[in-house]
Amino acid sequence: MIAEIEKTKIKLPPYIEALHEIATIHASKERNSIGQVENVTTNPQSSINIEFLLNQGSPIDDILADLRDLLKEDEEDEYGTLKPTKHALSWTILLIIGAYVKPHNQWPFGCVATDSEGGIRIEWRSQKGEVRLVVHASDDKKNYIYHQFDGQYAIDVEAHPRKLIWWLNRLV
Amino acid sequence: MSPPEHESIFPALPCNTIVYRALTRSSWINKRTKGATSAAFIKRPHLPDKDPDRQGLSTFIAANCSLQQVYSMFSSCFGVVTLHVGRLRDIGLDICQDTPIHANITGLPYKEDDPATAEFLAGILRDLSRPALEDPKSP
Repeated sequence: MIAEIEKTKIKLPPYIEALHEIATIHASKERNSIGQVENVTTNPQSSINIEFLLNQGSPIDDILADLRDLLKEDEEDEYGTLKPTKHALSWTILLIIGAYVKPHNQWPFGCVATDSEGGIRIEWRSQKGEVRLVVHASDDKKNYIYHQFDGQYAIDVEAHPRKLIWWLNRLV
Repeated sequence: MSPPEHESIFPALPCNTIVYRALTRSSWINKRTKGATSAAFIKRPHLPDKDPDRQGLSTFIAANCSLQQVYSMFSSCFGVVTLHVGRLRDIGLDICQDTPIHANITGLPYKEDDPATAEFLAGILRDLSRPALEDPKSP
């Protein structure tokens, strides 16, 4: 699915950098946890093996397929911008892949949509609650994670893979 | 000066009124449940030159127009859900009729002003909505 997204005409400038950032975060975590120094390349031309994320039929496969489908949409409709912006798409991929490197088979199905400006929304629901990731069309607005559990709701303005993992794990 | 959100020349709609909300994007439909997603109930942002949802979230009064009419009003409409006006009032929202067939759900904040409440109410509206059952292609 990643390969298919990459093959589309839309270029995703921060995408490779984002993957490197994720790799660096995870390598740094491992280094801290096991007290060993690990070599992490920062060469943007090098490839990172992300195949381990993409088990057939896994929840992330559905999300990436839906993101890819958004790219096939018209630019606009009566509601507003229909196709996601490069900014929204690249940040969403960064956050999603960053979160789904963790065990996620029990996370519920995520519904992907664009907002009226080309931002991206993903909502996950279970009997325990609800989580929504909102990535705006440009960086002039702050992305956020909406969460609702036990009748209480709030916005987490730190839209980071680590936070997303924490909230999605509460749905299980 | 533009009229405030709640001003209407029409009398208040009775609580037992059913209104239609058009799902004009395929992504507003949950592929698993076939119901609406919260995205269908978020007001578009208010911008200096553009504020299409200033008067509220667009709906159509079921008693005054057919599902076919709702589908035909949009270049693409992937589904229609129904909402019960009394249920809207139960959660502190209201509805304001502005034409014989059209009404706006009022009381929803913009996501830019109050994202937590906007998201919460969008979720409530999603949960209150039911897919409209009449086949739009039927005569």
